[in-house]
Amino acid sequence: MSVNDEIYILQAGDFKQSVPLVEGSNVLEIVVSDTSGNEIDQIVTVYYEPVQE
Amino acid sequence: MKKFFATLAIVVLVASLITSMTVMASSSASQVSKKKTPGAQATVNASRKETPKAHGNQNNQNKNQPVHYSGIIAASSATSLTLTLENQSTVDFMIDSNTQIKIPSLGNSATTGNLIVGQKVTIRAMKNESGTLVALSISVVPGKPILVHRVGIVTEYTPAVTITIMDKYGKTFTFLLTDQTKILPADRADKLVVGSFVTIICPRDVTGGSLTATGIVVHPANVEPTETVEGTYTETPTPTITETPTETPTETATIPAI
Repeated sequence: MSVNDEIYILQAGDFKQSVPLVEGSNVLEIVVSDTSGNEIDQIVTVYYEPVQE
Repeated sequence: MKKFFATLAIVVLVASLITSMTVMASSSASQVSKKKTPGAQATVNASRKETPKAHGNQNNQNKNQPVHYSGIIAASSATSLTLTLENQSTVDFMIDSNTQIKIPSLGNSATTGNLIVGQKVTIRAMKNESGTLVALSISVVPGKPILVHRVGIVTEYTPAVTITIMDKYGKTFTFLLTDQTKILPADRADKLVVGSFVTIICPRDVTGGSLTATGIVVHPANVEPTETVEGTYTETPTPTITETPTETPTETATIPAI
């Protein structure tokens, strides 16, 4: 799996992966493939707004 | 700008990708378990809303905190931008010297000149003293990821120069290699030779020119195709698409407290 420029090697099944966020909007370009050459992608925008005290 | 790092756990979101891929690969795929994390659900939902009201951030304006908008650029100049929201209403933003322009394919070199009418963007903005919305950052949301994955058998390999692979359809792809090309996992890097079964991560080909591999994943020998003869690659059983997922994938993400 690649998230933006980072590459992660995952095992089949459910999994999770932590990625760093910056303040504001974060566009995550996620591409997942298997060894049969199947590939699927999704772009997700995640907003991170730190709580201001 | 001070960067904050938080931990984002993409659980079933990514699993839903795998679920969809599994359906592609096999009509008899087993059902993948689904998890729900209420708090995280709100986070993902927020990313899909087009108005700050739906985003649940409208109160932030009263607190003079940044608000996020998502929509399509209707007009853009060096000093202002008009955004069309999903409900077809428009919002005007002022752009100043502190406004950050984020375009994935351009990195830090993006400017307002790279913003094009029709692009989908998210804008983080805050009202100034006169009530004008000032864009703190404008992030272009690409239509497709920059990177793609190519799976195949290595037919030619010159370390740090080029690698050529043949996919299961017999099509060959050649990629340039640099010192920055990652070979993963590290403990299998020395196993990368002609005949290795690999996944190449590379930029999406939009020019037809040479592509530089971002990374190479070397798969263990036990997942290689069973019959592989140099020059006559025998593909593994071809996945058959025989059904369409009927459920909307459940997506959750969690952002733990910092």
